[in-house]
Amino acid sequence: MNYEEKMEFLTDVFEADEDLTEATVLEELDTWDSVAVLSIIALLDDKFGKNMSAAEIRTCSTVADLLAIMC
Amino acid sequence: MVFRRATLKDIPAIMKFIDLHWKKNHIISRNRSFFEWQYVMDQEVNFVIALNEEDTIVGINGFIPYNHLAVPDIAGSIWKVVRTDNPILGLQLSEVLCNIIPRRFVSAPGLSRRAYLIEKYSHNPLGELAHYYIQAPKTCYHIAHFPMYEDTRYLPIPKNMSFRQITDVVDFEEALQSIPLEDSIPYKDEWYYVRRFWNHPVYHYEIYQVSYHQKKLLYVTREVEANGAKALKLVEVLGDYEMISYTGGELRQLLCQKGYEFVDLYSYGVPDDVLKKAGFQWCDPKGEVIVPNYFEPYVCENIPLYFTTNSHELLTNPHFHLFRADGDQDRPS
Repeated sequence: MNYEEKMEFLTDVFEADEDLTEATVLEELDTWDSVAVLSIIALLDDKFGKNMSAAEIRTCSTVADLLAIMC
Repeated sequence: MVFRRATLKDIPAIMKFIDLHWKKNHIISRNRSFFEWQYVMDQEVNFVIALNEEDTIVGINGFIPYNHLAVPDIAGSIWKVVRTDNPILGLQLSEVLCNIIPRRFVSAPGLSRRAYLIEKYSHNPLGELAHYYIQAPKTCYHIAHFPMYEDTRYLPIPKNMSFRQITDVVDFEEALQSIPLEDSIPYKDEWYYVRRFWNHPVYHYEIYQVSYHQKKLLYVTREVEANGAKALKLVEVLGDYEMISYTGGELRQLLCQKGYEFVDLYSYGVPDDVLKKAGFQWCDPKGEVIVPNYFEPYVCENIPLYFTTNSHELLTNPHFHLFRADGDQDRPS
């Protein structure tokens, strides 16, 4: 997954009407909920072979943090 | 956190939750009778809910039965949670629905983008409805975008095959009784069809019957409007699909008589060849032709419709069919 694909994925996950940026604070998104976390867990497992817990993903505070674990 | 099936007393709170957290001012949240038509069956509410310590709803997961059997086929519906301390609330709610609601197959189109991503990356069975259309011969189009008029060949209707509109519910029920509904997956019974299409509280559906000796085919249609123009949506087809092959001429007559720009069909499991024999063309979601699917409000885009099921085998089962009006789709907003 390249950078654009990751951002497109996160835009869909957060149902973001406006473009997300790396600086976007997750706590400010209404859709930073368990469904979003579940989507990210599934993606990490499928695309990157990572098995991360919901609690670990919850420690991310910005979109940049999420991008950092998507590798 | 408490998870349980909703009761009639929970309806106002569910409607409020939908308004606050799912979609503002949606018909499901502002119209109790529509909510009940969609989600209440035999005095049971077809939602499971999650409640926090203050007894406030923090998550809902709806479903719609396709029939009256003790273990029915069902469609998933609204699935929404709010942010809480529980990082797996959405997943738990989904598991509770699976555990407390008996069902055979679960399938419906209209997955949200988020739900699609979860299903995709979890390797759950996923599919996409094929989108076909017949274009009416016009000089300009106000709903669809057709770069040019492209006529297609179609088989003529055979002698002794009839195509007529059903205008009486008794005729509709008789037609349904002559079709082996139980052979289809999901199994939609007569109760479902009459309630879903004949007794819809808002939409008006027109039903056409094709007959050839003992064989029957029913088209369920709905007229849509935008930009001062009209089009026809085939939202469900049931019966002998081979007969679709011979209805191209009759559908074109309908287009011309009523001034429709096009007739289109979203389907899964209807053989491509019968649609092509009737002169339907495949709508490439990324192609130049645009056959809109959203009208409330109107959106001039091709919209792919995805679905998930609870069985990989179902995707290749010849009895498995899905249409645009399945589940909670084709409803007013």
